[in-house]
Amino acid sequence: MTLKLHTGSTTAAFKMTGSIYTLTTLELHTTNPADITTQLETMTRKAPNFFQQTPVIIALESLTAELTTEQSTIDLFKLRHSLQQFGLYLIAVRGGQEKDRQAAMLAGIPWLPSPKQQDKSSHQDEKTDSNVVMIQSQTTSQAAKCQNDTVQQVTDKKTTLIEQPVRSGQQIYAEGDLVITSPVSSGAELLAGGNIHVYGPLRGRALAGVNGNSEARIFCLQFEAELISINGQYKMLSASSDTDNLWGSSVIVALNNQSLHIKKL
Amino acid sequence: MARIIVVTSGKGGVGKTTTSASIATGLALKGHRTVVIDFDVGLRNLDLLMGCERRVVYDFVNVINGEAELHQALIRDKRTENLSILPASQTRDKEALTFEGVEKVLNLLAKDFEFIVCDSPAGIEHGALMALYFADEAIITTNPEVSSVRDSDRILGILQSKSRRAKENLEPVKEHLLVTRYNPERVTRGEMLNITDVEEILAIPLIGVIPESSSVLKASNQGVPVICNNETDAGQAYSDVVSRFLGENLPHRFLEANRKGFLQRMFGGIG
Repeated sequence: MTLKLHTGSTTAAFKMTGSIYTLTTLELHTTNPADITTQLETMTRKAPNFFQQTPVIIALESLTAELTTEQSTIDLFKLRHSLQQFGLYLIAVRGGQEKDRQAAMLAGIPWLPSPKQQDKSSHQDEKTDSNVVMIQSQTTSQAAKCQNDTVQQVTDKKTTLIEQPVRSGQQIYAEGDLVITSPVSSGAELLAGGNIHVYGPLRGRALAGVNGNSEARIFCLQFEAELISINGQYKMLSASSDTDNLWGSSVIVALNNQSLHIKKL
Repeated sequence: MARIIVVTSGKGGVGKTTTSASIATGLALKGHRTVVIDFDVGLRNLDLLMGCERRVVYDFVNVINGEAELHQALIRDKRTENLSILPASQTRDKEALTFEGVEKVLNLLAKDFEFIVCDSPAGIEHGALMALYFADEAIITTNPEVSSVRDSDRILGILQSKSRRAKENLEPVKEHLLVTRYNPERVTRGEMLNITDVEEILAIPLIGVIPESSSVLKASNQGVPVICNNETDAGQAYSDVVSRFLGENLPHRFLEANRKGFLQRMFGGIG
């Protein structure tokens, strides 16, 4: 059995929970601070309030080797300062080389490893979804090509179909929509980047829009779920809760104004 | 081809070993050459229920490790023809079971037997995985209460994902639901789940219902599989299960509370 922390007790000073947030990532294609500032200025001119208090991550993977020579190391202090002027708060640096990691450490900015090569395609999907802002050097044509690749992948998300029952302890993750034509037992967990459809009883947990999609919905024919969640907003349920008139019926769950709405179908 | 049947449940104490002993005996009584293997290494019980604990010299682990020949470890049942028992070791632990070793023994047994019944240990760890890995069919033993049903659900998920048939993309393991320790009176009082509830949650075909019965404990203590005692309700229920397993279509029995006495029925009928 796993060790349980007594976070629920009233004496606990804090409760530690894991959360998934959608973050804006700046994929740098240049280390030239002037180029970056110019593009930021153009963007903020179009939408002045768009970047109010936005946490960002800087990704260095797209920087080619020639751009990261000794002379052109990024000045993280400077970059942090100029980002802040536009309302962007630098919270972490991702990828790059050893010197970038050390520079981040010196600047007191957390450093994150870059996603593995094999996961790259799936991560790019997520990133596009989570509002990637591409900072692109005006001079490199390579950068433009890269952007096109990313955009194309948005349409690649497939629907996953599961026909066997999902049993207790099983976990199913679908990047796009998830369709299940069998019962989902209590203790089972469904996770989908898109919508979740269950053509049968839903007794387990269903988490839709896990990659930051508030438009995702959950549909099921027999609603007896333990937990439902859309884009991180969740609700624990039981037969005797306020949803008891919906218990066992066909429902649709949607996220409206940061709260979950369960409606009979 | 020998059929490999695993009797499993996830939860302990629901009647896996009782079921293994009775089903193996039942198949042998019907004339099929059957062997029953105890996978509960370290906590062997099957030999007690089969009444052969004093005849265990070599065991399953000895055969896997090449310390004994299979025929030296197999115990021929004294009561029932066509039935053999491969006991577990009491002095080792479950890590002694290896994929290669278990496969080797099952292949050897498949040459001589039509049915190989694997009595799984409780839990979902190594021992239980080894018992179900090579199975063609599974008898999911469940008590009519929520924790047992939940654990059975879990083991069904494991059968779907971790068995050999799942790994090699073959036809999935054929699953049968066996509800044991069913007490219709307690179901009426709402103290137990009813059969419909259990069937609905697990969504696999029901092969039988064994009533809660004092004859089961008595049979265990005497070392005689309960199926051998045809006067008892549990014995009859197990006979039905074996017949259904072999393809007969029998109605389910022992689902209703005991009939009222003669006088009660008379007056109850008038009123």
